[in-house]
Amino acid sequence: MPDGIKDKVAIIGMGCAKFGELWNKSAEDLMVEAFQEALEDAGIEKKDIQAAWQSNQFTEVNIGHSALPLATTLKLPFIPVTRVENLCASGTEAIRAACYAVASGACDIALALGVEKVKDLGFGGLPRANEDIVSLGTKGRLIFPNWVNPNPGMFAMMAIRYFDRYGLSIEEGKVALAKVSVKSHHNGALNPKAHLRREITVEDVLNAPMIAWPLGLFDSCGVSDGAAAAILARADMAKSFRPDPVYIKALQIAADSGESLMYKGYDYTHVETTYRAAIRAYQEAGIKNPREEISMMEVHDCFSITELVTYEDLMISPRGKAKEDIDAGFFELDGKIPCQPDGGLKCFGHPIGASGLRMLYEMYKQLQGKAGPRQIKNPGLGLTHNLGGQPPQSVCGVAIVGL
Amino acid sequence: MILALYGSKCKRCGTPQYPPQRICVNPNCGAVDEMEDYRFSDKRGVVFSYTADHVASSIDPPLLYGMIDFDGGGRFVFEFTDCERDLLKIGMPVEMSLRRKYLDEPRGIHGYFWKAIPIRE
Repeated sequence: MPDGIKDKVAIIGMGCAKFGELWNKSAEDLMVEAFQEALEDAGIEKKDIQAAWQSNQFTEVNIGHSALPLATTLKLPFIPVTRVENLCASGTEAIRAACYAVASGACDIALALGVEKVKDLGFGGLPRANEDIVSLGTKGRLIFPNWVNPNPGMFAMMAIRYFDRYGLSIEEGKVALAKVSVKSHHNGALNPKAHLRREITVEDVLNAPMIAWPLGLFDSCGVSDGAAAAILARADMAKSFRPDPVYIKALQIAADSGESLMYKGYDYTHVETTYRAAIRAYQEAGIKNPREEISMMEVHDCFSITELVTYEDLMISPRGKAKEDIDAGFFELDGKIPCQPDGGLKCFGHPIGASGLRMLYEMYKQLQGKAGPRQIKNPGLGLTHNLGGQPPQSVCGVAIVGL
Repeated sequence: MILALYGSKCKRCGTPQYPPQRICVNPNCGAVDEMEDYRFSDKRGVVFSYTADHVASSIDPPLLYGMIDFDGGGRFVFEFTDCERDLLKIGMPVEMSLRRKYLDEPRGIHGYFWKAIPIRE
């Protein structure tokens, strides 16, 4: 079993743009906004950065290919700059790349920045699915359903199976899912960087227009523009930059093997990649009992059902018991393990390349005691969960951080 | 082959899979290039899960699709047709039918593919 990454790399600065429908901001504007905040937070100069990774998925729309958009916008001085993409888990991929570069000794200080201008696609959701998003490329146009966006339906199918397996009627299931979104909106309302900032009720969620049955509009994350950045440094140098660097305790990614889509073994009531990445992440961080040892989480709530099954896949809630924990307020801001303290994808939307980094930003600020009205008391370990694709063909990144 | 709804069946472990694969999808097998052609178009199956998608492209929204478990093995996602959403349930028996799936008017392409339909006795 290799050593792992625990305590080898630290985050010394982070930045996050205000997310939203940013018609008057370009990708360049967002990159600069996130980067400047991160640089100032780290207290370093741009020339101190020795390598950079750009995370974004929809390169065609107003960003461009390779990592030249990042390099030329920020005027990075001829350092190695690479673009990474792993669907919605791209943000965590950028962190992973920067983290491993620093841990390997290839550089001392690295930048990971994610940016996306999803609003410029002019579509409510993530389009061009068969060419861009799913695993078959253009062959998908021929054989997959006529999606423009496979996500709502493919996640909806997981809700159907989950309700069926655990004896929930559609109505009971939808109420459990609604509580997930209500909880996130409560937290987003307290967050000036979030896109959607109003409280909602369970009634609002149940009466919302249908997207892919049984998931409605308020079970789905929004479509927003945004950017977020992290500056990473060697752990043994970290305290020379600030008294409270945040250390990476674990960073694991798992990609589907094809089994979940084409083989009858998969039960479609969970996401296997989350589970596998979590097992390895807990092992890497030395965590034996996640429900007792994790203080707070930012998970990938592209849909309310995703968040619900994630509680179980991360081994926080026992299988089939997520609803009990939801009903008991376990994941509320004042609960045992606050989940989505910043409002989650539900309130920030999902600028794909930025989301994984935005999740880390909240964990970082919480650990440093800078989360204002959302501050969790004495957080120990924070977990981010970043999921790309759909349950039968997904890729998941799990990161664990602490002081 | 793909358009004819032929997949491959692993000669080593007997698992049918669609689309055709060179490396067996069975996690306990993984055999390479030990496949034979396997016809799915005449197989019946059951609905494993389903949804009604209101944002998908359809001339008759919502678009109905679901995961189909084939009798004898194999699983994949297909559109449904000849039915409404309230007919769909987990375990409903289906058969496959070749239908027009999309129409690309500017290019004059009528795209056909297999859809799952309730079994007509």
